[in-house]
Amino acid sequence: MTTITDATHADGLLQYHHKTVLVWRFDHVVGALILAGLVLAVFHNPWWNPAIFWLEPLLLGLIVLNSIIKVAILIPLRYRNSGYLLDDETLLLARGKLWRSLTLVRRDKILYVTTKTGPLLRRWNVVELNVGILGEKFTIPAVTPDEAQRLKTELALSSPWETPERGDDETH
Amino acid sequence: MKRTSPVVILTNYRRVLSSLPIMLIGAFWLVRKEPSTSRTVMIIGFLIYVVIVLAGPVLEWLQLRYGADADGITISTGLFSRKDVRYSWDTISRVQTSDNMIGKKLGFTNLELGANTEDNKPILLEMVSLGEAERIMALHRVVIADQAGVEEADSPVELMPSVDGPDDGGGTDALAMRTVPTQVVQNPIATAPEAGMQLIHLSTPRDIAVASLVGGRAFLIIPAFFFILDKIGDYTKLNINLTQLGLAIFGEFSPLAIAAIVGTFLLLAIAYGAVTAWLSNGRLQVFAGDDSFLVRAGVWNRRTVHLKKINVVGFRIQSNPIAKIFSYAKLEVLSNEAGDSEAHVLVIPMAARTRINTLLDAHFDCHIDDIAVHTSARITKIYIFLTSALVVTAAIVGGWLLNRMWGWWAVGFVALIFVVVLLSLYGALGYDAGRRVVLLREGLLSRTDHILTYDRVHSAEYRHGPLDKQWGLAKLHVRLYEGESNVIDMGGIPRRVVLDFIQEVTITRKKSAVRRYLSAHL
Repeated sequence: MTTITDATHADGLLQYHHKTVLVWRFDHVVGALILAGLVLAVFHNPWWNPAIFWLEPLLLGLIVLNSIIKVAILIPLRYRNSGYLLDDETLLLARGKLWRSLTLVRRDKILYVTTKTGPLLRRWNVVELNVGILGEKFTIPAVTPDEAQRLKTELALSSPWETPERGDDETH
Repeated sequence: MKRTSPVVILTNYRRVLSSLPIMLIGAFWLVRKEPSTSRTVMIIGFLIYVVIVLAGPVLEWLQLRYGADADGITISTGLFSRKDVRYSWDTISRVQTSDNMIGKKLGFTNLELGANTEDNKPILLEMVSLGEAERIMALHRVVIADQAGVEEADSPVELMPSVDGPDDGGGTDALAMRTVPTQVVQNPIATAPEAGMQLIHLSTPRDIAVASLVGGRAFLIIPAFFFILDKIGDYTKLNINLTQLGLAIFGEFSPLAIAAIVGTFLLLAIAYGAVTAWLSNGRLQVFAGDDSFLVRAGVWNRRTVHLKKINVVGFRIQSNPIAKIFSYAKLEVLSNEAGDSEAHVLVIPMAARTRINTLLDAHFDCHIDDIAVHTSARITKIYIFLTSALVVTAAIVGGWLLNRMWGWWAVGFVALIFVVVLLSLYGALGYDAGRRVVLLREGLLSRTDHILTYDRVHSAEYRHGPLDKQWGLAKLHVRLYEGESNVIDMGGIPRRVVLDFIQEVTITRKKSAVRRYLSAHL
């Protein structure tokens, strides 16, 4: 099994655990099922004009098509282009190819690092890692427990953390 | 340890009694729905309500105590199990008093202390005597004066020096640079601040006039609202037919009648804006000392805010097309106090741009207009045009598909909202690397400028979609502090500028691994 620490992109970004693909696919399928349920509920409502009932199979078809494209093509593509990089002052989180985002988090502003798990993540032997700053948190969707521990330790030990206190950190 | 005045129970009763109509509506509904409800149940319900009304404010008053000394303030809460929290004065960034008419008559004020508390809310002591408020403010002032002497030398951002030099700020020249004469401070709420503070801003009739135009514009939505109600009346057969009402008043639906209606609303808007601007911002005074700002505002309900300069992390300037005509803007002084309330900043609701620029120049030691701002105006306009066209087309198709259920007017209205939202998403940015000052500009029509130090930025995110990429643009998402108002989202900025910016504000070392990655692969 590939782990984060030994899997790096050719460009130097640390790649997420390969189970991330499963996590994203699972999240997407659950979301698509809820959406399909909403469409069914809406169109079986007597308030709607019967003239637009032909939209129901169209929307359901679009949801299914979108799911197939995402699960088969877009999620693996996003996985290949996602990852993170940690140096002694900044955490970089990169995500996506078509809709690309690069997040730079100042390490001296990080307030907490937490891990989260659930039945599926436990079964896949991974945890979700959350890095929190004031008012926002950033998620690494799947890492091995060992890697999570390593990241927590490394972030907690980083020197910029120790100096600023909440409320004073903006002034110097 | 002492309690606030029991007068607070009266003001709290006012709050609790506001629930009376809801309780009566509930009781009425119950009787209509369940006519069999026994009188006993009704009486018990009413008694419970009365007990809550009577007991709540009393318990609320009993459970809060405080004690202030030269080192700090202790807040003690709870009746049976007590919790004491101690705040030293140097952790209190702001002291604010808010008078209302009842309090003023009785000699009390509400005192608010800005601190990063457990629940991110300021400490509120309601109905404290004026003398006690004066004592607490004085204790706070003494500590911050000492603190400023130590911290000024270490601060990379120069604390605002005394403003001097010529002023062209629209009629406040003589007042603006005048040093406040020495006075014995008997009551900080009612008299001038201590010697050494300079009056840097005083509201003028012109300020109030501009504020009335800007503040009253919300009133102009009413004709549109009437129009929508009218249409809803047509579709739902609810007889909310205001056209008929207009015809009844004016006799015929002529251009003169339309002009009369619009003119009436315009006058109402200006009058409403003038009254609200005068009540909330009349007699506005802003003082600056070596270590703190002091703001007083309001006519009936007057507030006094005392903010430590060391806690000032930036400024927010908001302007809109009307304010731009007069070269005016709204200025907010941002503090690093946690929370997401407007109360956490000092606000100068309407001030001449020249006056604001003088203040900013002095605070950041650099001229804001000299910061090169990057945007991609031409591409942004094309992008907005195409996106708007797309939204309008989608709205028309949607309206057709929905079989004109809501009518074309609703489709147009939704499309207009989308376009306005789109316009507000586009902006520009710039920075002064030497002084570590950032300028972030949101919006095209209504513009908000954030002027901050680098340290204010907690995280910065670069985003692009396929269209952005095609046109060399990117979006920027910046988290400044806690709370929704401290997130800045902007689009339509050249891609390279965004990439340089996110590195500039989050990385200091040239050999950073993250910087190397971004340089090599983007």
